[in-house]
Amino acid sequence: MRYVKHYGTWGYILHRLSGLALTGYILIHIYLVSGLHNKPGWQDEMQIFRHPLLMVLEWCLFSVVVYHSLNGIRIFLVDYFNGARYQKQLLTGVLVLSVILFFGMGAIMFL
Amino acid sequence: MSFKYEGSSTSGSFGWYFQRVTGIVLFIQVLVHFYIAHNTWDSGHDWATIVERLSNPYMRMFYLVFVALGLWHGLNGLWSVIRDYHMKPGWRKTIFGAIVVIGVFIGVLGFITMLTLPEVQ
Repeated sequence: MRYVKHYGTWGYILHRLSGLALTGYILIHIYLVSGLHNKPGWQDEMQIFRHPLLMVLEWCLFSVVVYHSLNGIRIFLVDYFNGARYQKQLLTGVLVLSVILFFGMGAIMFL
Repeated sequence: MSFKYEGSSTSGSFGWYFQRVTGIVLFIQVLVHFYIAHNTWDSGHDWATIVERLSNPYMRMFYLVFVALGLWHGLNGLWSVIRDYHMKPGWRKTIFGAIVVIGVFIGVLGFITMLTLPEVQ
């Protein structure tokens, strides 16, 4: 499928991509949490989450959740509160806030 | 449900509406989930900490709702994306069936996890 790429379209494309990523993630997440029934296996498995690479991936996951949530609010405003009139400003707000929260969480996790 | 190609404009309104309802609930739930389950390394990864937290029945109810709504929202979103692409009706039925099967399988797995966790010793 081809999109006409106006500014707001990028919000739409990013929302779809982040949503697909999160759907894949939630399936894996629920599957892995079912491992709680095996205590020793769980404890071994969780040690890999001390690895810096995994922490960076969790940081990225957080950012994807943040973007999808904030743009979800934007969609809600567009659908119910006449937000189509200011959807471009809203997208800028979503992106700026996402970047701020991304670096904020990075500071909390790694500093 | 129709399996004809429709694009995003004329698809079922229940899915459209419920995607927004679940979106709002999930927005609140994901904030709570991050705050209680991923506040520290232990709260998200230590077996005893997690099992103790989940021995609270309200916590379990929270996660039953979270699993159900999260899966529905995610898989309905996936289906909405796929439905926008033109393909033969047979393919559409197959993919829709696969999504339902995956959703039920992972949903039941999540429910079993929550409902059969060991009590804290």
